[in-house]
Amino acid sequence: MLIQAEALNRVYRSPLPGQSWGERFARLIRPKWSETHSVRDVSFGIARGECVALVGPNGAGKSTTIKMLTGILAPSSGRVSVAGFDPQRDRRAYVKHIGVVFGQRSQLWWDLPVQDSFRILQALFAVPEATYQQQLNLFRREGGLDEFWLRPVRTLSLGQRMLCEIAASFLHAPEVVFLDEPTIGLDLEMKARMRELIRQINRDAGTTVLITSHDVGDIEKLSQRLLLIDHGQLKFDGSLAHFRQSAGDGHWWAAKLGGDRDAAQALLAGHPAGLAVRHNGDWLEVARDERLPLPELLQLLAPFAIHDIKPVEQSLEDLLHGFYLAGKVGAREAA
Amino acid sequence: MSTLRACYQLALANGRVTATDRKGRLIICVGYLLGMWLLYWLWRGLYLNDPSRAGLDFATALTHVATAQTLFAIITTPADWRLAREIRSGEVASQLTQPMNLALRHGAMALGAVAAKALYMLPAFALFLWWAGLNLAPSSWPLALASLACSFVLLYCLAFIVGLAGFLATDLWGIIASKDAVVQFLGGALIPLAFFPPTAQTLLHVLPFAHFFNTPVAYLTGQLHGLESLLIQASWALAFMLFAHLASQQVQRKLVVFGA
Repeated sequence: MLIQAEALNRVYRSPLPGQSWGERFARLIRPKWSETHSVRDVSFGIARGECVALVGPNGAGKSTTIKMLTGILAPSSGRVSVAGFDPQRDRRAYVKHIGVVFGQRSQLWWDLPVQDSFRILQALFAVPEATYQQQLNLFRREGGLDEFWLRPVRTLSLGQRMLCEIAASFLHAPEVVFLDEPTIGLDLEMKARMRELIRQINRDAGTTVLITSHDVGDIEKLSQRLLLIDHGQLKFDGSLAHFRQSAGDGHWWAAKLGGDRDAAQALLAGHPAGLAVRHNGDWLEVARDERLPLPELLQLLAPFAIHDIKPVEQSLEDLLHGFYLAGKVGAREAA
Repeated sequence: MSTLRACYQLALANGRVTATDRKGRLIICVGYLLGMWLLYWLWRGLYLNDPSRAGLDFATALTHVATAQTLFAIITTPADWRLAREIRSGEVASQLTQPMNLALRHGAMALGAVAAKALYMLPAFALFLWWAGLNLAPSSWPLALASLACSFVLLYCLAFIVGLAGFLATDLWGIIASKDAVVQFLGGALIPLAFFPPTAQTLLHVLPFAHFFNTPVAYLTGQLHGLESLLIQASWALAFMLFAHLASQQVQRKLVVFGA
């Protein structure tokens, strides 16, 4: 595994203020702390060349996890290994092997032209000229970097700047790239361009990508695998297809009938497969299952005058929304 | 070699950022010349009834103060403000994902800013010297330049250490203003150290204070000839570098532990 996280924990401590003056004075000498578990017992492995999405609601612990993986935050306990490095201990040597984009931060020089920022990064990462040109060419060709290559960074639009940030993170041909909300605030066209570039580099150069995003499009278009984190805990680790199958309320057939819907429901409920049947507005829905193939279903419902029939699948956004909501309800109940 | 190249690129970049603000440059030079003009009349007034004070004549005292104030304007860099801002905004996190020492990075950038400021402020300084009928006469330019380099290291390291306080305090205005006041007053930038009592002078020479401005100015004006002061200054510069390095390690450990 290129990235290995084992039983990662991150606890933030903050001082508790005293209630009285005496208590405040006492706590200057012996402070009391409250503890918040930002990440709790998270373990996963990511193989070389994978593109994995780390998703979760706000405050779930995604950025904390990314910070621990990039070496700027030490885990309270647990172990991280990326490309054979301990990110915290070997930080200076390690960062040469990774690229990082924090959507809210910039590694470019505000007042200088884009090309100068890239030359500085080339010098900082000691990138050979051939590698520099090769990495850059893709972004010049596919990303249209040349349009604003000579313009100061401060004059760029958000989309142009993010394109530069992403290009900068790939400049030294890193083994792993961590993208923390890379498409935040971008328009549809720029998002599509950005996703295509990331996908191309992941596919052609085999660069491992770990991306956090609230944008379902980023997850669907880029990643093959999902790490779902909530309340600091890893709740799901698997393929996108598996998540679609296992999350939410499953897959259904929805039929609009001209005849008696209650009678149709009773008929389907009595089927030996014992599938779930429900009303949903004007539609009668039955769980999709191989034990009740579509031709048989059509045959069963034929006496009830089928006006329309369609498969029903929840979108990834709905599935994630349901997942987050369940997490909130669970947390409230636990409290 | 690659570290040197990175330092060069950072120095060049920050030098360009500092030098490209044409209006800002003009305002700084005009303000500087106005300040020098006021300084001239202030010291002229001080020497009106007495041709010699603290063993210095008017021209020597004014040359000292004018040179020291110019050095203060050129080699004092806003590394403290920048670092504190980057710590508070979390921008330092991006820098920690780049393979370069934080102190070296800011040092290179400070050097670039100093070089840029020297380019546009030294002509203004020369203009003032010509107008006031003063001149610099160092007995040894190599010693004077070495002393200037040590002075830059001392001031930068101090600014860097103060900037690290951004991790502890939100508003550093008070700390930085106090630092600048102490450095100028006890460093001989406001009045030559010859005006201080002899015991204080000795103490300030042994401690780092005199070496912020008094020592390089004394080399530039020909008041110092030997190596002794430069060696003391260089020793302090090394001590400050070590201290800045240790402080940086300590704070980075804290940054790493508590997050950026």
